[in-house]
Amino acid sequence: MAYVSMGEAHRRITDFLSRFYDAISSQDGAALRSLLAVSSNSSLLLSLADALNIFQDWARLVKQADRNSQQLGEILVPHLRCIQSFRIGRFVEAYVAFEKSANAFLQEFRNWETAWAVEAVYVVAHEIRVLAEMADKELSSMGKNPEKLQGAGSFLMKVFGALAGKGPKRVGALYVTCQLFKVYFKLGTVHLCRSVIRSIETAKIFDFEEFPSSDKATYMYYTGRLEVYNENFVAADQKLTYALMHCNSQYEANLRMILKYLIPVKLSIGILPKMTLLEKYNLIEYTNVVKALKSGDLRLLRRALQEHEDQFLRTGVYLVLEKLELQVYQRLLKKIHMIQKQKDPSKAHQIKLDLIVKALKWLQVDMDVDEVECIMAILIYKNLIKGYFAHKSKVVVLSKQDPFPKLKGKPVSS
Amino acid sequence: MESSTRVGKSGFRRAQTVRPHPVSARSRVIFENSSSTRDSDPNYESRELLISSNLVGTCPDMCPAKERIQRERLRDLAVFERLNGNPVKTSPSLAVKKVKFHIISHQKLAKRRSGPDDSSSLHYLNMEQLTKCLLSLYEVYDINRRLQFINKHEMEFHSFYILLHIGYKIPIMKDSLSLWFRHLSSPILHSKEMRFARTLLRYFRMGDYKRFFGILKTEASQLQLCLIEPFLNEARVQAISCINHSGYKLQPYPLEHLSEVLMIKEQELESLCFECGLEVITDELGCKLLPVKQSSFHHPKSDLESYGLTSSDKFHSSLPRPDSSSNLQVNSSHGGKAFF
Repeated sequence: MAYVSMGEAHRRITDFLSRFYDAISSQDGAALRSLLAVSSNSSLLLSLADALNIFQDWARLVKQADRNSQQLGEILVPHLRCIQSFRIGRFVEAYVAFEKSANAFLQEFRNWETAWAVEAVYVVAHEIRVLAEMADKELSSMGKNPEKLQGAGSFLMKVFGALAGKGPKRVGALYVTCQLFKVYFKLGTVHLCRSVIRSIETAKIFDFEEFPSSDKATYMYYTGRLEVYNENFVAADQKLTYALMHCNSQYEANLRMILKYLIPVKLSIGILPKMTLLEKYNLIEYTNVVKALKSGDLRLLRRALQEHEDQFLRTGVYLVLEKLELQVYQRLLKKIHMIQKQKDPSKAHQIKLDLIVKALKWLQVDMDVDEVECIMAILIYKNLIKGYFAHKSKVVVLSKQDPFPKLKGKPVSS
Repeated sequence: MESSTRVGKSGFRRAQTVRPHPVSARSRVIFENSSSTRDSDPNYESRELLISSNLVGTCPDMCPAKERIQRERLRDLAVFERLNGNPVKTSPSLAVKKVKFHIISHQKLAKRRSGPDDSSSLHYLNMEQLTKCLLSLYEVYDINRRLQFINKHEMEFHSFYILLHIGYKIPIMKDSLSLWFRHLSSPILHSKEMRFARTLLRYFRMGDYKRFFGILKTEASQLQLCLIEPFLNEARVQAISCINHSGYKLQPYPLEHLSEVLMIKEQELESLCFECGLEVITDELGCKLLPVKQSSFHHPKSDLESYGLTSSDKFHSSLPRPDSSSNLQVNSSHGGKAFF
């Protein structure tokens, strides 16, 4: 911490205070934002924090400013305390102070008629989440129960309520929704997303197209992920593709996050990405999955799932990738059919189950005739193969026309 | 809410510090771990977790607020929740027993045909309770894990949650299974019991009836079998539907073979086919056959009686001897007593 003289400290604090009062009296949202972004560690706030630690009696300065101007002490005092605590790494204290300040700010915000302060609300919403996460980390490290993020979630719901009206403030609701998504995903209480989604999608006051583009992309990313978890692949494809199209291509990290979920979805509806895409965005965990689908190599799929099991489980796509096994079987059978066609085209549509057992053995997959018959029955049932199986003759008979229907953008029927 | 408390789904709050409580006299609810009950595990240290407040009901799902307040005031801890009948003592091993109770009930309720006494709604309610007990138990495990105790039952009991997803009639889980996996620790996810449950679910979702029943034979524990038993007929109906759809019209499917694959008595399989609107024929040698491509197939109209797992003589010699982490029992009819 740099050395600061008392005089300089006093100057910095009064300077900050006057900026704050000016921003509010002149309804300058952009100016207000920068004064609220605690975790940004801007030079302004860092130098202010140093000053606060030197000039300990700063609360008196706020009282003075309040007497001369509007009453913003309820917002400012805890806000400055937050900045002070944050600087010295006391994140729980910083969060508690910020929450107090944020509540006071929200009360004032409700009274302001226009939407001038919505930008500032964005910062408050963002900061409360970030500070809560840091506070929870601190609590966990002390062996205590981490419950600040949960509190931040409750506060964000209040903010949502303040924005969900007919007036111009409603344009900020989607941003706050996305912050809520981030909170719920982190806490694992994802089912709580449902009520906000319902509000956004069904309330008459909201017109989705009115929201800022970046908020829409983020919203579609999270709701797309929810569709993936619920295995609604068509909806997941729509939403994640939207997110991809509307995501600024500068943000490669964001594109990568979207693709991480979009790729398993596309695979489930029979669309394979190019290897170059996987390489470009460093999604190599999907490489062998894609190769297995292309070649019908069941062993390779299983190996890929095993190798990246933890990663796929954490992402939440493991169960989706598991389902691809049927498509791999289809591909394998297609290959066998092609080889038979070359040997004897007239009999190629009849494939002995024993032959499939042999092919699988060659891939080091041990299955008996009954197990293979079962798989054939399933493939036919789910329209991955057109034909039938004959139990007594131990053979699968393929339709002469289009025996291996493509998925064409639809998932395998359940 | 005090910052030093932990709110658990079990419905009772544990406080780390002593706080004066505005309502009446203080009482202690003591959590005892398994080693102080019959299921002793030498690895499990004995610890007391003191709760120095009145019972404070916090679970938002179980009782309406008015009832919760009343229960707090009357110190109404349910009979099953009381350790040794003590009205203020409960324990994680009791939570385990509650789960076992619900699993056995689940199996028994499924064996009764739905009739005027409407056991199917009882069955549904029981599954709801089972789910809630499991979730409470997981909360207790989470608390213990923070104190670095791993319970020997944890793996198996986590596997039950996965197995519940096999039934079509399950109460709606709050979140999808994929989300549930995200927050589980690696040792649990990779345990033998969890792998078994995950594999079984995979076979079920794929419709792979052959390997579904095959793996049950070799890897399921007693409790796992109890839990799955009421769902077996759904798996069998799925299989019948699949074979009826995909088979060759001129080659009816032998019922004996199918009954071996589906681990069911041939007679019971025949009944099941009738329930699905399918007819069964007999050939000149007296063997029963299922003609395929019957257009009359439909899902059974009423709740089916649950048929247990049957293995034919062919498999007897290859079955392992039953032990404590046991597998298949021939003609399962588990006595509830074994679990209490």
